[in-house]
Amino acid sequence: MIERGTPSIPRPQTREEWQTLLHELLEDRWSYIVDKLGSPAEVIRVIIRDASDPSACRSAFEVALEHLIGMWQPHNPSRSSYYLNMFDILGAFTPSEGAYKLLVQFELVGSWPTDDLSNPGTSSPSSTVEAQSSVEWQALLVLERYFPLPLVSADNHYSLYESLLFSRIDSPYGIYSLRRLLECGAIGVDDSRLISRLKQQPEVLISELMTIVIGTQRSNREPILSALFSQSLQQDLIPQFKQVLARFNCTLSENERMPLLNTPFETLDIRIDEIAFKKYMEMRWSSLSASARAKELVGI
Amino acid sequence: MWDLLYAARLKADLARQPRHQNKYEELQQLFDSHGFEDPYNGHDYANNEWREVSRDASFLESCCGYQAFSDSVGAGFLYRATSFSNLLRYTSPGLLGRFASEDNKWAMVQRSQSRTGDWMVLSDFLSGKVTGPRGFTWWTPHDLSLNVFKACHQIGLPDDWIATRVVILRRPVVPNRSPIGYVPTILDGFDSPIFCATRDSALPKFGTCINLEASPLAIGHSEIISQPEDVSNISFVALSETRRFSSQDRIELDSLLSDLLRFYESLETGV
Repeated sequence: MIERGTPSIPRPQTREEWQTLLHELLEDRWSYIVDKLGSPAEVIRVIIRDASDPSACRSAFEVALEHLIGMWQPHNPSRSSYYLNMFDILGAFTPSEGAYKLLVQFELVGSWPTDDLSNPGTSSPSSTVEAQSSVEWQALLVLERYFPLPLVSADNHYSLYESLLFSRIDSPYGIYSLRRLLECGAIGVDDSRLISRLKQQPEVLISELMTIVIGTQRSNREPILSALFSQSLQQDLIPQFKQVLARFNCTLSENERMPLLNTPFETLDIRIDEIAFKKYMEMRWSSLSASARAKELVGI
Repeated sequence: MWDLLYAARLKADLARQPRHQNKYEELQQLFDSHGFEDPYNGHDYANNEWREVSRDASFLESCCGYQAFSDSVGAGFLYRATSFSNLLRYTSPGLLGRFASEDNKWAMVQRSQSRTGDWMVLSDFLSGKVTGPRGFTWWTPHDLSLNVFKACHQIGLPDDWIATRVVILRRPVVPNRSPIGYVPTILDGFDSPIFCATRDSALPKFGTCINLEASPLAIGHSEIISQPEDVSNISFVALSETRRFSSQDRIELDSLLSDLLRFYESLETGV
């Protein structure tokens, strides 16, 4: 029997106790301990860490979670805090049926009905700022956890995920969707929708794509960086590119006249195409002082 | 047991800081209005009610204790242990805000940690100020970065409150007699079952933690509370505390209740 809502961490052992606790965490109970540790997922991690038999505790938790997700009906309106707690747990532990439930909700219902008194939350967001505070946005972010890089091509929900991202290109989540499609390999760096967004919202798009370049998921990032730099050169967007780099604590340098990107973690080659290279050399030359140009000429 | 603990704490608190009697009565009215008998008696705190009470309790004037000054610290730094989730929650998103999930953010921080092997500057990752649910944070001159569990026990944190993703924050103390925070009052610590009230009549320069490693429980290291602190003044290390440790090293809150009760009873009349 677990005493409920105390400042102590609960210690569920059986599947049934875990089921009860998971329901309570979703309902925003145990606020004291959730506030101490920061999130429902962290509460769960601490319970498992400190269990007398962590592997048995984890197994019971996983069975309870699968059961809970199986029973979950996301189309039934819930408080937004319920969704956010659910997403926190799904994102941290990625139970197998979670992705399917989220994707089906997007596909069949298309929204996340909330019954919050202060925030009905059912209308479509009209701006990116509004969108990023919505339950729908959080659901998209959780799905990202289900499709990490490199992608496993056999994942049978991937095609649903890809369709979802394509369907969001013209929504306030468009730039995010383009980034995900690019890193998943569903579109190329020369995709017309990407180039068009680069012209319309260069800084926002470059910022989004920089998360690939300096992120920890390494698949594909050097070619994306190189294409991004090349496109920025060709669209005369290098000042914007540099501004974004500064926000990521990154700088540009050179190695034998080839650009390099110094991230807080490593140095990456930027291998640009022939047209971009010509443009880069022109830009580079025009930025040199007279004495530096003379030195270069002597060097040549 | 929780109600006995609260009653014992209440007696000790008011014996040591009687000037807050009126505010404590207001606090009790706040509990009553929400149907709580006390802050930690095993109620089922549903639907954010506890958060509402904690937030409403800020009318009780947090950070109203004596000022603490840097030249009294006797150490070069102040430290704070928090969970990574709460660090993200109570700062503004900087570089880490660009990454979708907490897992990705944690991976970024750990990658940087393994690269530098040293304290990292918080403003390289996050922006704004470090704060807490009630607008202030707790700090100690005791170095928490070396043996996290033991160090946290020594400042009154049981295993229940030590996250698996721990962040130790550190801010420098310049010994020039500048104000660095406040001595915690019983109003600041009302919601914690582990809190040692200093005695007003002793004009304390610091608050004091309860050392949970001591048997019986004893007054331990110093502590202060601080208003929101800019991330540029803070460095940090990120530690994964996912190991299973032996049962004799464990200090769980439930196992401490009798000891805490005795400690508060002795505190009522003690120094």
